[in-house]
Amino acid sequence: MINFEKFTLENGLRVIIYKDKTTPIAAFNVLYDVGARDESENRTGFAHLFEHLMFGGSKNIENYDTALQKAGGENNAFTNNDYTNYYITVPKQNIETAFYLESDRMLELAFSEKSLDVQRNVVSEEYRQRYLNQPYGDVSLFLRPLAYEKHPYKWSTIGKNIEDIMTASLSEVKDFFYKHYAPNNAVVVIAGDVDSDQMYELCKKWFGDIPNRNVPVRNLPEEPVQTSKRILTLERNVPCDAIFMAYHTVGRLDEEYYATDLISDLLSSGRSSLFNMNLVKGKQYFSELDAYISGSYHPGLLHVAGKLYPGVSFDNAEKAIKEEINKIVKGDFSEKDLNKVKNKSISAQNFSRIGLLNIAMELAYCEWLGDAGMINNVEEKYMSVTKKDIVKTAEKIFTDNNLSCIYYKAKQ
Amino acid sequence: MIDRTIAPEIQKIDKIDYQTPEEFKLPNGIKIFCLKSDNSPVVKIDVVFKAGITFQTEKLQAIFANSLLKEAPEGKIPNEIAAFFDYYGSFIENYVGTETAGIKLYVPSYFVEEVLPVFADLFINPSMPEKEFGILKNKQEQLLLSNLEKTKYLAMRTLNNELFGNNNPAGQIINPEDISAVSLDSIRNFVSDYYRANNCYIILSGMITDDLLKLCDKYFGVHHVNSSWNNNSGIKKINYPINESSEKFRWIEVKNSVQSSLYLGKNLGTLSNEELIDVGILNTVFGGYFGSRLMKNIREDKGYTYGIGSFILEYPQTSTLKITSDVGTDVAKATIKEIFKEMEILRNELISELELELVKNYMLGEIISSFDGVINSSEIWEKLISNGKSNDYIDMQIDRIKNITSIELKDIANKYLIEEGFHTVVAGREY
Repeated sequence: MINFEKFTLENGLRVIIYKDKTTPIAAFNVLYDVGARDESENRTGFAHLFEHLMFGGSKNIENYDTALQKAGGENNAFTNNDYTNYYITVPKQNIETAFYLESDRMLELAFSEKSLDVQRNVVSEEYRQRYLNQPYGDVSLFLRPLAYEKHPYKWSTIGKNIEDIMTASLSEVKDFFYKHYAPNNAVVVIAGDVDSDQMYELCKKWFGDIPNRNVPVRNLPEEPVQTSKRILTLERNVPCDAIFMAYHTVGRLDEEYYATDLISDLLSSGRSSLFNMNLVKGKQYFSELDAYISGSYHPGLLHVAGKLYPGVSFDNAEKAIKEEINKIVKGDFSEKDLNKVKNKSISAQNFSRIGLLNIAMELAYCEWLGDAGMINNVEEKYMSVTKKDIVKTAEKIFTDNNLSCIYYKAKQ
Repeated sequence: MIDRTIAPEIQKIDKIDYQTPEEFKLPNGIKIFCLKSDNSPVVKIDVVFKAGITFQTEKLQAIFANSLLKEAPEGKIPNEIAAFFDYYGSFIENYVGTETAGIKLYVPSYFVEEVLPVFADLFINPSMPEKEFGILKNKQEQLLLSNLEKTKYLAMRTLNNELFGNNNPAGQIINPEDISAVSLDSIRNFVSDYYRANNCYIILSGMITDDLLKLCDKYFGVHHVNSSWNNNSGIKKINYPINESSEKFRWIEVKNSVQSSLYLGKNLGTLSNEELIDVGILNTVFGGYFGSRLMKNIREDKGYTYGIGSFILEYPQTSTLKITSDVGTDVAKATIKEIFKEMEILRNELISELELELVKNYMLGEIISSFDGVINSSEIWEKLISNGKSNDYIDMQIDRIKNITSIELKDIANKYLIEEGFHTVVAGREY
């Protein structure tokens, strides 16, 4: 049981405090409810570029990193399609520095041409490093628009192409900030050996006078139901053929989410999973074969990704994957198998909760989903999934009409 | 209204409290280090051997031995063992370093009684199954082929080859035919030579009870079993020479690459603990954290890269300083020039008090965070214990960070950050 306290400031900022007396560090996490889904289609990659700019100085603080490092702290951030998350760890005696830094950049960024110029280059090198200079690195740039036609999940967080980022202007940056970076659009979590009253006072002191802002109501197009299988073939200089499959599934808050997650675990979590036992070891069709879910807020995807051994055709590879998938659809697995993936999920969760920062992030995430208290019922949700639920969910997901597939061919 | 131009006062970090592991010895001599915590119902068991690459007589021996060992104990079916560990929500992680190699078990504390006997049996009665050996070979080959497409991998292995030479495992280049040539017999020999009770220690972290210690005694402390586990003869040690290349620059052409990977490195020789700590502090200033000189210049000022960093690695006969970055192919030359320029500045100019203060606080903060949670700190202790160090080293490190001066750091830069002796490797489309 994770115990926490929660309060909301007058400007709408939600704050959660989690106390742990055993650790010498404190964590400060700020989640903003803005992600790549909030970008316009001709400015993709903007939310992520913006995350970089958040480190380029704010109204009263010239250099964010320097001020934090002076206090012995470390920080980082990430952006996904749904939200943007910033986090700090700092020796507990210097926790106020985190308030000072995060409140100033929530109040107002410094907005400089130089910072924009440099970060445009940094992000385009990130784009090259992660997506273009790695074998198979560009697959998500093709798989998303194949699986999604309307919904903004059709582009990656990094953006559709480098040009969108390279042509972003300072006025767009300002506009984006005032639209999305606001106390009433954020969740703050403070964790560590801290005093609640003191944290409350510090919150009021540093965040209390930041005005709330008009955050636009999100109105995203719904993704139409897919009606036929989609196929794309790519040819690249890669060492071996690879297959990437994606099936539409439910969103994070749907009750079926837990069954969906356990289905992906039955397929590929652990050395005794169906994929590993039968296709990596048994038939030896794949050197690697994974299944995982995107876990997104809106209806997401269940991915299957595999690297084929030489001599295995795409046709046979896909058939073999579907044979394993069909075992789940037909209920051809034991209660013990189901208990196994449940045990694994819960154990993974307990290991993750050893770190203070992980708990802080999970609390922010749950609150963003609607209620920080969800952190305490995840285990029960997984445990209550029945074999029947799994079969029912699998029947819905695994049809060819619901499948997008990339055959990633190695150039001869 | 608050005055936001005034930063909160920073509390100096005077004392760092950290948990030191309790030490026990099993009857057969295995040392056990315990880091207890009741925060979460989990246990991690690290079994560490002196079985890293520096002990191998054939390429890939160490890594194959380590990977195969976890498959199954003698008389058991690998698939069933995999299902067994999975069922109890446990994860096995294996790794091979230069000197040490180990297997880590992550297990829920409420299942440790079921899991530990089987886990221990992996070491005491290793089976090294043939079928899994074949699969491992295929996987390793695919992995290598994939790595050979990566500029970073190509640059790294070339640099290691330049620094250590072909005959030293730390410098050996692995080719696909080396993987086909690995024999199961040589892997089995390696296991019986190095995966033994008299060549290992164990770190327990998490929810540790007296019962768990008894279980360790019962299952790891066995001396009635007649297997190589209890072989008490001395451990074979090989002293590989370092054959550093006289070439100082290498360009590896990678057609179609959109970035160039840079790897620079230098052997610093054998360093005392104090020298190692001092070089570590200098390295932090140079390229060891987000606010380092290299990051500020190459990323935050010029935007040449997503990231650049430098780090120090300890090898048996030398410590090595390495610098790495992926940059646009057109700025590779300019980046290398800037790297050497930053070294020159550290040799010629004193680090300002402000920057030094910042780095000191940052490093002390980093030490504090590394002790957040016992699973985290078990990794720190593993590195220390494996390198023959103790908490004295941490105390010395804290002391040096607090007291080192800019003048001392300049002297260190003049000793180690000299262009002479550096090897530079570039892997990319053009140079």
